[in-house]
Amino acid sequence: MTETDEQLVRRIALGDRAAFRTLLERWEGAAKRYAYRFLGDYHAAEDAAQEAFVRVYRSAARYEPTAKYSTYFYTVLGNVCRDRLRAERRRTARGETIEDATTIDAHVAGDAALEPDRHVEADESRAAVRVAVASLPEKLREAVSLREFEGLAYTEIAEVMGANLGEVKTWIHRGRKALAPKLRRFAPQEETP
Amino acid sequence: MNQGCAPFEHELSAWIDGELDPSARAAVDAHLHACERCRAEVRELRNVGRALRRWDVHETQHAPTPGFRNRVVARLGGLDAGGTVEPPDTRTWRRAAVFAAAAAGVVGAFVWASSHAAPGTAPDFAALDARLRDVEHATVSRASSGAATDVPPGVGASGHAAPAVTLESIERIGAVPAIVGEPTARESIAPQEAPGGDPWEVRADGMLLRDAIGDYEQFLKERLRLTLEERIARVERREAGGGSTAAAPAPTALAGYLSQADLSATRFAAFERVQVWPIEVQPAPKSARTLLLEQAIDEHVLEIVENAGGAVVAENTDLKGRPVLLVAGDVLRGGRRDRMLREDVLLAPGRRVSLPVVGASAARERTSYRNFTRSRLVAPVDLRALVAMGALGSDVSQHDVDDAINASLTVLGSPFGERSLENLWTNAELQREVSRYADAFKKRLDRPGVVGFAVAIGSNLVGVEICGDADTFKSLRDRLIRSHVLYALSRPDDAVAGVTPPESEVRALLIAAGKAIYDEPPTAGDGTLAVFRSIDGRMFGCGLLDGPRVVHATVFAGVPAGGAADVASGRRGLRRGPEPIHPAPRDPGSAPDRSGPASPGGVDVR
Repeated sequence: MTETDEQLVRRIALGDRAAFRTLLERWEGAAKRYAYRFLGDYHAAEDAAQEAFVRVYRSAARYEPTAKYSTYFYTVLGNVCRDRLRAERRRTARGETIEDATTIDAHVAGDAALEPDRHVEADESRAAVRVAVASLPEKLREAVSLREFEGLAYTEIAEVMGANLGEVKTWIHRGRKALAPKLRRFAPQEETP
Repeated sequence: MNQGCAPFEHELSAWIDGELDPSARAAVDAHLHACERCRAEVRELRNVGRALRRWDVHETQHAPTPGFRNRVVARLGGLDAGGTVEPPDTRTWRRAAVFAAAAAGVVGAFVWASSHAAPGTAPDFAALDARLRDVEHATVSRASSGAATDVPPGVGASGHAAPAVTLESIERIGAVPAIVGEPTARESIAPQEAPGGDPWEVRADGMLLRDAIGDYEQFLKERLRLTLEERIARVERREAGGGSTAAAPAPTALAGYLSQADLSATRFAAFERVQVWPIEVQPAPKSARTLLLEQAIDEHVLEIVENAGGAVVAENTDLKGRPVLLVAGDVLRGGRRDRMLREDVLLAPGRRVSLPVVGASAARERTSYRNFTRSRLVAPVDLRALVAMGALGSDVSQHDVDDAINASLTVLGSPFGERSLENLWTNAELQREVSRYADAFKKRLDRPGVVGFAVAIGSNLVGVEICGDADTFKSLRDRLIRSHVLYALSRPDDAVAGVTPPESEVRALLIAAGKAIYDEPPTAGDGTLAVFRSIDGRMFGCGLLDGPRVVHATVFAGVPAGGAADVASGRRGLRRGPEPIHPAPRDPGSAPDRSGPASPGGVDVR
């Protein structure tokens, strides 16, 4: 039958290249997506995703079979992204006063400025949504992202973020409330199932 | 928001996400029913998610690229991952090692493992093994000295009732024989040296691979230890848990139940291609209250969701304390691809488990639609047999299942439907034809005391479906009949010609099932799974028990010809069947029964 992620990691620990390739294929998109939301930059996101996979490979033999791969992976990836942000902050002259959101905002705005069809409505909508998400405080942004894009359950999000359920619930609700007025005009008309 | 809304305001997001416990959810349900302001708030909160997913950065910008994989591998120090050399196929020799171990006596494998263990680091398998055998031996001797009728003679004599360490359990755990069977392969991996010069192994940090293997061995041994301890605990729980009858190991309870089953006294003639015999068990078992999948979903007490990793997770939120029964072959529609349940699952209230499923359709593009909301279909029985063979240790891959599904769809599917098993439900013409058979058999089976049925198609006995009580059977009856009829309709005419098998053949099958070799694989939900097969492997089956009580079991009289058999024998690819079925309604008056009378003096009751 289709191998689970957990089974793949077991094989990876044995040096199974094909299993590692399969895992990469499965998770590349989600990894880049998640890192992008964290870091706001495509290149940085790809770099972070690669680093996360390298860490997974190296620690495959130590992976606990009882932990779900997805939470394990998002934890690793989250750590990589946070490390990068910290390094980024240290590198800039403004040091500790930089908020993650501001850093990302700059990146996102920068990206948006580079897009060729800036005046196309669709791209404007995309940029507006991106900016809105980037404007959220880090915890709210991460919690909402994990929920809305990665579809994790609250308990899984709590595990990935190292928080408790109450905090996760609050962050998601506050994040949505903050985004609601900004995204009101972008919601599609059709009903999803 | 007015005053009355305050307690609910902060629950609304969690309510949308289905993360509230049942009583909290009910409270919010009630409030929303009455409060338009909060309903509007819910809509707005939901729109956030919709907007995010609608205007999220293009999926293509995060789409997988070959370059990405290559770069990851490059960072690991290996060569370009574009090569196609696969790791050696370890399956054949590992299987040989396992069979050798089995022939030498299963203990051998574990003694082997412990003798290779580095002193002081590995768990003491010899001791664990001895303890396990003590516990199991005590169970067997109690079962055979106690209620002797429960223990089939063949099983008791050989002392292998409820085998704890089986071929299958070794293979499931993984590579213990692989490690101990190939010490030379391991030692040969050294820096700057590799068989075949595979650059993957030849690296400056070839140490990494060797260390990884060493770590992995340790890791596997720990897993093995945990598994053994769990098995011991399980057996000990069974010992402690019940009286003399409850002490009988669960798989043996199924064997006993099947031995007691018999055909009911009334005779019937075959209906077109298919013959169905009702089965009863004396004394009539007590009734059990379970919810089925569809009903549970309709009543909103069962939620099935696909998570980011692709696992399908089900949760039973019933407040009335009813367990939910999902049957092997149930088709779930939703998620990134439709799924089919691999084995029966019993889900107690409040439980949340990852379902054992196999893909039942082509994968869809990414969708935000994660919930599985509908299942009307049980897969055709040949597909269920194929998956059951996988549970018994045969090498059945998703690829094999896809082939079998394609074969079914080629013959039975509507040409306009999605490439999904669910297509068999949405094909209205097909379902009308299936209903004709189902209605005919319903009358035969709708009698008190009937707990199951045996099925033959043409001259081939297909198998037996049986439940632990009449009420459960009544709930499952229609689905199970349809599963067999779908298979029957997929068979070409010449394959189903011939005389209906005699009743003695059905009885022989039930007796053989009682005497088969039983095993208890790990179970996803509550209850215990039992799989069994005859010595020659031709007859096999699987069942679900709730403690000592049988819930449902299927006995396959052989490998059903068609999709499953072709796949099992290694023939891949689409089976070119007869023309797809767009059946014209048959004129009931004119169609003759192709099979002969079931037995002399048969009564045709339809």
